[in-house]
Amino acid sequence: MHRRIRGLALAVFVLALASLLPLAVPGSLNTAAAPKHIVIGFSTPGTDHGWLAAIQRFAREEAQKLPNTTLIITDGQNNPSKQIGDVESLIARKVDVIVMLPADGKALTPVAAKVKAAGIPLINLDRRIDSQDYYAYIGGDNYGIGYAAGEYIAQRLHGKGNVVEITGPAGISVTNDRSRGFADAIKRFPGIKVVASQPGDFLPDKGMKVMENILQAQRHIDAVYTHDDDMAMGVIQAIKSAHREKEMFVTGVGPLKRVMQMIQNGEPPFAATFDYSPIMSASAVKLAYLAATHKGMSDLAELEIPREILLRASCITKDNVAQFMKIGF
Amino acid sequence: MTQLLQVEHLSKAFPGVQALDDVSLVVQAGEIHALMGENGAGKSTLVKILVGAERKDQGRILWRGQEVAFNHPAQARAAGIAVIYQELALIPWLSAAENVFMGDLPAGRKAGRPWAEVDWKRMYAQAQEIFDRLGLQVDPHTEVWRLGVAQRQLLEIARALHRNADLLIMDEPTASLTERESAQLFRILRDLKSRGTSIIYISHHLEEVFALADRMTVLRDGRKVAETAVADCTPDQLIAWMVGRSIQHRQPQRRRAGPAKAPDGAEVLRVEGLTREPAFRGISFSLHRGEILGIGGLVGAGRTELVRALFGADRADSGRIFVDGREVRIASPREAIALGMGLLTEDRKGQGLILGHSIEDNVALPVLSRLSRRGRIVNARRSEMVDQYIRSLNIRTPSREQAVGNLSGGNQQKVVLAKWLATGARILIFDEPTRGIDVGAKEEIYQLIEDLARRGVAVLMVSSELPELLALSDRILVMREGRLAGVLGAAEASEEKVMRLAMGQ
Amino acid sequence: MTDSHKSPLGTGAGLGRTVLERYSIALVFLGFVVVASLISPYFLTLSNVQNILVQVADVGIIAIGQTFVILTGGIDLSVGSMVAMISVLAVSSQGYGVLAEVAVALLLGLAAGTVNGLMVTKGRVAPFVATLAMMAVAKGVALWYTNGEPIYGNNNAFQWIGNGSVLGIATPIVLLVLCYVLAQYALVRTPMGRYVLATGGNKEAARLSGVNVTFYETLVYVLSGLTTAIGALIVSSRMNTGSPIAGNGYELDAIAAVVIGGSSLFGGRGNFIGTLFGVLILGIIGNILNLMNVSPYIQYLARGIIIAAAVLLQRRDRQTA
Repeated sequence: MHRRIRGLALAVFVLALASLLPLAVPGSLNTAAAPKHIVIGFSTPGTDHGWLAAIQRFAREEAQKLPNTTLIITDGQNNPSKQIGDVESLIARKVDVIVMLPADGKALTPVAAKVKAAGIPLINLDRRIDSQDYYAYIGGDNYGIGYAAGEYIAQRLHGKGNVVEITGPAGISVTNDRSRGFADAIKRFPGIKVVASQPGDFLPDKGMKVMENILQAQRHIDAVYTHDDDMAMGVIQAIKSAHREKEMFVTGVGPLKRVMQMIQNGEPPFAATFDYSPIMSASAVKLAYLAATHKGMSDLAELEIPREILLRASCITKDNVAQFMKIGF
Repeated sequence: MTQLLQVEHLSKAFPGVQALDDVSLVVQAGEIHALMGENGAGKSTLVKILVGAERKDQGRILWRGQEVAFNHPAQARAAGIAVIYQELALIPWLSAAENVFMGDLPAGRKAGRPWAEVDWKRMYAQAQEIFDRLGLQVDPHTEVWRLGVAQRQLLEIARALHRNADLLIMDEPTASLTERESAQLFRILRDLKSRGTSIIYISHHLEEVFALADRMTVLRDGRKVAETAVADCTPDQLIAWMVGRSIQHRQPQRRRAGPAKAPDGAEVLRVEGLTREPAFRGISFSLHRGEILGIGGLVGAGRTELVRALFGADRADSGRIFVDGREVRIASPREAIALGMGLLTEDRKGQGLILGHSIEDNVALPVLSRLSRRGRIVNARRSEMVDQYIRSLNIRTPSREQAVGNLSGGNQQKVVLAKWLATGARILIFDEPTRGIDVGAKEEIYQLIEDLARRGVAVLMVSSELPELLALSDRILVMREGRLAGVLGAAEASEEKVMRLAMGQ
Repeated sequence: MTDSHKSPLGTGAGLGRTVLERYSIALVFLGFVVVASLISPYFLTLSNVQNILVQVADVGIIAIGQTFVILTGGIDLSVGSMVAMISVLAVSSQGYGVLAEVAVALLLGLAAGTVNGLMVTKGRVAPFVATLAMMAVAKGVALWYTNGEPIYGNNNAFQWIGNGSVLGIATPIVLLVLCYVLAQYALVRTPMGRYVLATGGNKEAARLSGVNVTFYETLVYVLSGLTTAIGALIVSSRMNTGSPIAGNGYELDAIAAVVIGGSSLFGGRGNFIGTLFGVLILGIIGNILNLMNVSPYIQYLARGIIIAAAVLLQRRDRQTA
């Protein structure tokens, strides 16, 4: 009996390991003779969240459009030391260029130096490393998102009203920047009052429960600023259950396709969301390709690509939502 | 020769028992001193007091001529007295050498500081030296879990030697050793003796004692009955000292005297060739309605293992069991209970009772489905049943909701008994029924066992207390080293005969 | 004298008296209610009380299974991840109707619970390790199946579980109460409940008394899977979403509730009334922190201190009772 269980367990174990093989050696030994073959290594921190899953998807789609290009994606499984190993093995494989979205900017700074030492250009995506060892940086503007959301809400409320903020997990830089930008923007409107600011940890169920509680204490709310579309889905569920969707409007950060549909259909309470699209990974792959082929950006005069690209935190409302649909996730 | 250890007029009482009564003995430097006595004679209490694990009531202990009173075994060890326990206190995942030096690892650099480093080279070299001296053929780097029992025991001795022990106390050291291993141990012990180390040696194996010891002290019921040179004594004399009972207040009256007749009740249980290696092998006997069948023998003879296997608590390797003449397979306690069996374990607290739960919960546990109607426990029926047993067995408790952990040993035993009576068991197995129970309560338990037998219950009783065994049993099976050494009828049985069979003399 | 004198459970005495005499946690709970209603005028309103009860329903029901497991001396770390797995797989089967969603959820819960139980009993893996493995597997299934993206519900009947009502009472509250009544009944009045307690109290003694300890030890994990499925249905239905990140941290909330409720992590002692109070106390903490708009940085601290205080207050009370 026990022997059989042990045998079964062994079989399962071997199968599980085997299923990892394609990840470990993707497109190995791909040494086509064609003009110049470009291999892009893309180190991601993990896929525990819709946004990160979309990062991988957009990168893959972009790589397919590029000529003679192979993309190798590694998955850090939310473990910085695993990701360091991933990057080291990309160096060892002598890829032409590396795109890295660090799980933790500080933790992956030393390995960025190794990339540079190996003579491989590094495209730092979104979360910044702590040194100058990158060839180019591209990322979203968390502070700008908070600021844009603050301006949008204040203007829509004509400078007067009660606002609730549902934040990401306390103590991470994304949350801090989005909160700080928001606070700086509404500082100029003394009539706007933040009546509650509570963490929803980017989780829809937590967002729902926190909003339910706030609805109990706040008899009148004009607007809700949330740090994430996914979490906002829980927040609007709470507002709808309380039948208070006419009283207030909600903004998010995404853009989730689902949220943009709601905005397009004018379904209250969702009014606007702000662009922090994972499609930035497609741009990063494109930049990597340009770097590897020593090209600049075609509409600019420079010979090389810009070193810093900070993406615009566009405000997506009913008026312009149609054009953003294709960058949703 | 100098006197290393002097014990003078030592006494110790536990509730209901005078464990030691005015015991004196002397251990000379460089002698092997055997401490003899049947189960419960007071040997382990004496050892515990010597090393500070128990407090003495009266008397003096002189160690190298100085009066000492250790509060803790660590103090005794520091003074040079080491006990080699049967259950060896070694750390399995560390190396043999580390175990020898544990608590006293040789430091290299920064010695004396909390962050000092272990000097591994020196430690292994010193361990090798000690092992060589002992003739222990073990690589000091070996992790202890890889070692056999004999090697572990020698490792314990090595540890004691490293601490400069002058007196080793060994309790049944050969219990789990093969003959060859025992021989090696004896060689080492003699060698140690010749270098001036003294040894207190506790054993039931008479031949070992006569081959090894210089002198011996015999205890019986907490009193010293003899202290003599081994050369001046014979095995017969020794057994007579060990069992010869004087006036004994705690000796139950002989109840079931009579000729060794065939039991009148029908046979309810028959066992043929039951074997569970290495605990016991080839055991056959039968048990009848209304009979009390005692099982005697020394501790470690395989009696508890036998009754556990019979009850399905452990699996037997081979053998056949018949209940009411029909062959049965008993693979779990549930099946045994369904056949009308009940087991009152030796270890009541660990295996017989759920201490934190109430009397009611404990008694009703095996019969809950019978007390239920449509899946729901009928509380009234349960309470009524439990109250009835509290009354009929005279369990002294404020209420049936009392946690059994708060009851005395005797009352706990009655709770276990009530549990089995509730199942309607026809075959009751008692393993050491009065262990840890005071004198008055013992008498009550005896009464209950006899009543049960009179009402037709077949009783199998393992006991290490000879008077109890002799007084209650219709027949006595004696086990020795996992085998059936003999069967004695109530009339022919005597303490001496049981002891001879048990010790193989 | 300590309460170990008494049976771990009331049998027969009136509920009110039993609660106050035997469950000192009830007094702690009342203290919380008084303090909370003093510091926030919104706390003790009908709508907020309903709100709290609905909110705790998912974790509350999951804590029932956790209590069963802890009564045997085990622990189930997999419940949080199982919520995520069940949530996405149940909602993804919405094309076949609400009954299919419910059936998928319950079957998944039972299956995962059975695997946990067999790992512990037949595989002899420590509960901590076995359920840790299941935690990773369930999370992995949820992420792999959805690519990390939520699945939105389009089935109105499904929403009834989380947002509907029965005779004017919100469905999650009805389910919560029903599950607790059933669980407490099973513990106090059925042989199964007593066998579970006995197994946790002293496994060897229970086995020698004829209790099939392997069966009951497996059963508690199956029950935990079942209650996790119910909890997952409630949270998915309330959000109308199958979310691969739902249930994050639920295992810790459930374990905390059981411990606050006075069950022993060593098994053999505990009950569901205590767990329910533990769940309510945790719910009140979350609620009052939000009502008072306490800074998120202080919330962790406050939560930790309050949990420790709740457990300590109970201890103190038990010793002086």
